[in-house]
Amino acid sequence: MPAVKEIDRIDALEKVLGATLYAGDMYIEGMLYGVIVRSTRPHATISKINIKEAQYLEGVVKILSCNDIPGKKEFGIIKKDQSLLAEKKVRYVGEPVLVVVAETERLARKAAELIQIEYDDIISIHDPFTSEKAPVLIHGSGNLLSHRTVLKGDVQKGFRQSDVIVEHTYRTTWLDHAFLETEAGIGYMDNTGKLVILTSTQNVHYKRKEISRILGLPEENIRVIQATTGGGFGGKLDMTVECYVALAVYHTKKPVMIRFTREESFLSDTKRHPLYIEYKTGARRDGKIQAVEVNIIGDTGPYISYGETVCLRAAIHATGPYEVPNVHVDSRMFYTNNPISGAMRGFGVPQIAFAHESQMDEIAYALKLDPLHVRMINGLKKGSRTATSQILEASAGYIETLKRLEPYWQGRKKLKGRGFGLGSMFYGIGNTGITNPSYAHLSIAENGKIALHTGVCEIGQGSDTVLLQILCESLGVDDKNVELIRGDTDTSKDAGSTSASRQTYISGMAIYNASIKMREFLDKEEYYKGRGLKDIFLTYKEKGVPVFEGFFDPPTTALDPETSEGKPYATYAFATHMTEVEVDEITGYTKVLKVYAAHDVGKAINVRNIKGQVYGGIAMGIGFALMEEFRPGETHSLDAYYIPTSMDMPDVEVFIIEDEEPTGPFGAKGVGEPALIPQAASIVNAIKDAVDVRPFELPCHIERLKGLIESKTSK
Amino acid sequence: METINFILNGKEVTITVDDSEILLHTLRERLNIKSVKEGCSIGECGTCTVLIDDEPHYSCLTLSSKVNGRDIKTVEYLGKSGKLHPLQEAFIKSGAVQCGYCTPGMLLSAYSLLLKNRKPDWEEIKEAISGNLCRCTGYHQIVEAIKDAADIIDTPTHEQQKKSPISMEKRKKEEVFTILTSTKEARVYAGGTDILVNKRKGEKFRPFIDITNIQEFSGISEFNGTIHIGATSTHSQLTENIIIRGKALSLSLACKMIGAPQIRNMGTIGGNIVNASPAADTIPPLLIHDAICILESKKGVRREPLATFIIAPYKTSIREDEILTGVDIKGLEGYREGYRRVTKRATWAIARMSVAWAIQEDNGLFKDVKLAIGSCTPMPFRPKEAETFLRDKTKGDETIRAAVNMMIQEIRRISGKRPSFIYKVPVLEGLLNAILRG
Repeated sequence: MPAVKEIDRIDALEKVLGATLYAGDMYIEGMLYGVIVRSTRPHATISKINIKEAQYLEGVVKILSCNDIPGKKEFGIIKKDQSLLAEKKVRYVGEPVLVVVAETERLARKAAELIQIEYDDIISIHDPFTSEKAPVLIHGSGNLLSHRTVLKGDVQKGFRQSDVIVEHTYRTTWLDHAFLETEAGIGYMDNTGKLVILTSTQNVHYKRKEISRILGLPEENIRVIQATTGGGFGGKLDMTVECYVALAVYHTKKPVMIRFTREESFLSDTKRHPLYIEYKTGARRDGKIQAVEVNIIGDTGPYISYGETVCLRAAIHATGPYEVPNVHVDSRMFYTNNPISGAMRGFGVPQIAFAHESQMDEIAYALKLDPLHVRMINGLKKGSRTATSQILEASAGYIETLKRLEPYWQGRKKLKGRGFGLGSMFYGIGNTGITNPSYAHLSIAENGKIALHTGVCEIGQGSDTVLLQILCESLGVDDKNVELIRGDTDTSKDAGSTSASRQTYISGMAIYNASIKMREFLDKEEYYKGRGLKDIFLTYKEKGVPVFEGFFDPPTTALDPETSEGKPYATYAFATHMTEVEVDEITGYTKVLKVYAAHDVGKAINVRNIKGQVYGGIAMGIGFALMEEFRPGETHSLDAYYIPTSMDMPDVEVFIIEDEEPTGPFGAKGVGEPALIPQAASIVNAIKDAVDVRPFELPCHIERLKGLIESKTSK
Repeated sequence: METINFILNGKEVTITVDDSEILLHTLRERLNIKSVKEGCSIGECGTCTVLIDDEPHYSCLTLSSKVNGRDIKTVEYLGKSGKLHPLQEAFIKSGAVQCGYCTPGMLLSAYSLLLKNRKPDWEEIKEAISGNLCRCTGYHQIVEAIKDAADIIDTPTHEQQKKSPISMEKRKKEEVFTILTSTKEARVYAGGTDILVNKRKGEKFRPFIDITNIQEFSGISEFNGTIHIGATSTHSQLTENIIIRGKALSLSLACKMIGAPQIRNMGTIGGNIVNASPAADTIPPLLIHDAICILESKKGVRREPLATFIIAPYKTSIREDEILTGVDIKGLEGYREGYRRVTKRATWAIARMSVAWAIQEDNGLFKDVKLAIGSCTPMPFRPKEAETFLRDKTKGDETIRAAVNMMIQEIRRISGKRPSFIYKVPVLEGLLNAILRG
């Protein structure tokens, strides 16, 4: 298919002018501010709450507790297991207990500090390994949240056929999204009595459902609008401020703003799941993988959030972009009283990629084969059967990512203290084995422009621009003749979350499908022969301008509960990164020098955006590999949570591979998460190449790496 | 309360501010400049960056009263719709904008760079924006955009550095001493990069006394081999200063590595000394230059060697009525000087450990070796025993090994057993070896 005409990002002008207002920048005359009072205990029952001092502070309007919730008291993105405001029990440090509403933000914070909550502590669980048999139950029903298995062939037979077996354990820790805009929202009652919430979010329709439940109001009485969102990365999928703002507006009948400080964001934001991964790989002498056995233990914290999703996604992706005949994966998520872990760019796959890519290299080392060659002969391609026994029918450009990097790989020149590493990945686009549709509709607006209505949330990644490009291309119109009306529950239907790298593929296809219908109409109305849109609008003004709805739900199947056999995703993205590092053996400091990144995106809709995703993913991957580490109780702000600066970024070359996906718009898939996933793995492999030690735990920061180097020399 | 005047994006503003009010809030909440973002409030993200006299600063760590008489620019100054600054154009064209939250601060850091350096290379650009975090873009397209813009801007335009037209009277130092003795628990404020962070972290509020506007406390001069450094000299000034670069290179290098560009524009050497962190970057170089602290009060002037001035981590012998007004250091010539720090991140990180050195060699002999080590003992220190041992010794493996051992033993003696030594001791051995070898 021909290239899609690229346009500049539609939101960039306003942003470079500094004119964009984020939720926390907004102001409504007479608005109040809310501050959440949070638990200071990991596991306790609340014995007493004293609000007297705070209550009588002048300017304090309301102090809300669980008794002030008119509807259902629980919320949760997958299951409703979390109390909006704790009733009797708290299960982590940071759990919301009360909301203080006051005339100024400073006052609300002061009042929050004056509130005294007394607790009776319960034994708390901080280790997923002891969680299962712990004498204390975090919820009524056992501390195991989820256990998923992926079974294919016979692993024991596979290991018997193997000439070499490599077995190691890998660990990762909590990471914070560290979006630069902290969570914020503002709400008010409009003149029709509707409750309106503007919020920094990745999914407006889900937020509306949640508010409706909590307030016991029909969804029609609630409107959620996405404010410009300063980064999401999965952290603004769960409910953050929305229900608290809504509750405060409901009770005060006044506009209310809640915005988190950085400290509150660190305390409450869901984290990347720490995973413990036991990994065993068997291969024949020629490098062909015969069997993979994996045991994953995860810490999900006290509430589900996306815990089950991560448990399953990590299991499905455990074998990486390779065709493995015999597979046995066990994946378990346990409850603890640690921070809640949830969605973060990749849903468990960056962690598991660290493991499978380390294993691929170990197999290559053991057999004295070229790591690229081992990947090549095992790589998934069209016709391959995945670990869930799905046959890849099209758009499987993994081998091509290797081929594109091969000249650089073969031409690498190893200098002292430096090393090269490969990291590959595949990633299922969209939600796992469940329906995840998107709707969009098109019409002609009074201003003579084609209006695209979509519920898609732009979180900085560029979906607004890409979706408009898809619209323009499929309708054959210029971008000057279209306008985007998005992220507003009143003007659009549900497009699903901005997550799982799904918006270009799924919502893009919904828009494409709407365009096909509209194109027919425009053709009939002689638009393509030069008739103006305004003229067409006027013809239909009286009887109603037709609306063209588009819909797409990727064809997936439910997975077998025992074996996970099935088609969890309609399509997969593939990528390989090749990284060069330099390790200072004295200090243990790793400098990433160069990254070559090859991505099969199906079809590039916007090359600048794709590159932007890849560069950004590499930065986040460097953070994951080398420095980022959230320590409960110790990490309160960005001075104790380093994310990469411009000086940590290497030189990068991006290669875009277009193995078109027949079910995607113009053949496009997704790239948001794939950009990050292989990076940490490629760094770890490069470190091994540079100094001959292999990190099994991330982040591999200076102290950890120095320790490995020391134990190597003392051997 | 204080009424201040300053230039905001070319227009004069008069406003009354609270003594503890920070510029970020004055701009956002009172002057409705919402392009200046709040991302962390402790100078660790860069979204609140503004230009003060065309240099990037964190407005979250700047007291509003400090900008009296100065020129403040926010991104609104750069361009308007239809008449964008080349940087803004380039940001749009290169895909340098994603979520946009870092963009205003990023543009200001870039603008400031291009005022000083019309043709920056890739690395210079990266350094200039290293105090502005971005979580979306991986910086690549931002650097590209700045490079593209620099290629377009050929001739100096209206962006020529303009000095603030408001002339301010410099404060007299006597005035400050009077306020200091009459205000209970007063706290001297210069850069704000430590004390405003501590305030945010819950330290009890103490009235601030701004000393940045006092001529006698600023400036760098040399007389008879002694270099006088005014306490309010910023890390940026020390990095660039020709005297410091010529005769106290390790200090210049240390200042260049502190924090981020914004922190270096704000933080002062006086603040770094009085804060007395074990990881303070200026202290090891000052120690090898035998720094003498100059402490003034109403009662007069007291001079105390830095080595004894710091008495414990975060604790000095300064009295409540005293101000550190400067330091005198010995300039060194004919020495090989340097500074190294170990960090978890490429830049903008607290030093895990640090070493400053000045070594004089002659014909394979160590003539004079001065070393100072940071973050391994409660206070940065000079391993005097090893320094004496090395004097006039032949430079060789044996000698170096013995000297390094002496230093490690001394550290163990001072600090006792520490879990961090599992990391620090082998690293220090490696660093000292490499430094002595040269």
